[in-house]
Amino acid sequence: MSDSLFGAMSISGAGMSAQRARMDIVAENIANAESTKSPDGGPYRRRQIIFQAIQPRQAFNDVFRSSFQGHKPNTVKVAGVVPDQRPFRELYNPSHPDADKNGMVKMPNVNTIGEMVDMQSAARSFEANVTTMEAAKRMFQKSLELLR
Amino acid sequence: MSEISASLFGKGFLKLETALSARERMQSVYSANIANADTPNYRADQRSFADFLTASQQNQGHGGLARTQPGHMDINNSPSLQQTVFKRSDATQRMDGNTVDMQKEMAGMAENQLMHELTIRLLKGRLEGMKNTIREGGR
Repeated sequence: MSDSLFGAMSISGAGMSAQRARMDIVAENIANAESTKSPDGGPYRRRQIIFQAIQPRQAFNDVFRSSFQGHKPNTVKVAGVVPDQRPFRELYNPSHPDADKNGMVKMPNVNTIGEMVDMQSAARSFEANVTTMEAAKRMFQKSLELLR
Repeated sequence: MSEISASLFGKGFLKLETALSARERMQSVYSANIANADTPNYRADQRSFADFLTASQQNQGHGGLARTQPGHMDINNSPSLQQTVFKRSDATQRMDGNTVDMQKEMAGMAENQLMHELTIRLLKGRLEGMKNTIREGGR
């Protein structure tokens, strides 16, 4: 019976950690919005995070009983972080050491405004996950109060 | 003696217990939808409280539907009773193909929580009544 409430809490936890990972990537993108050098050579390339809905990992018991219980709610995981293939911005700045022979410097393809929007969206989604987790916790506490 | 305990912990208790467990399962469905609110191409899990309630009532072997006529609907062939995940087809899709309606999920979750508390209160009331009887009305 309490199995599903713990399941709900672990799904909310997965959602929170996915949003936090997204926030990490946003921070990386904003911090490197002006970096003209990167380990791969060339300017920093914007990265974006991909989420994926998956079935939670199941214990043997669950698999054994699954024919009676039907489909389980999906949890979420970070499927990967992929580079953004859009072209780099070009800026005229002949004094820059990374400038080409025409004086153009390749700047990262990061749109700071877009990153800010992504950041707000991640923060809101994180809050929503916190709310669901609190709701599950409260339900659990109410059930425990039956014992008093 | 067995008759007394059957009426004490009988149908009412079992029904409340089934309702509670269905509410808890619903909570994990809401969690899943909200956690996947940003997952591209995620289809919102559309199962309702009623689906879980019917399913667990059948598992407990009471309150299920009996087929007494050949024309009756077969439980095993009914999608709603098999706990299939309904895909919302008429929902306005976002550009990333995700069909989660955040406001709807939040509202549903709040309702679910209140109904859970109501069920708990009912269960508590029954237990209190029983306690009162055991104490001979507080004498």
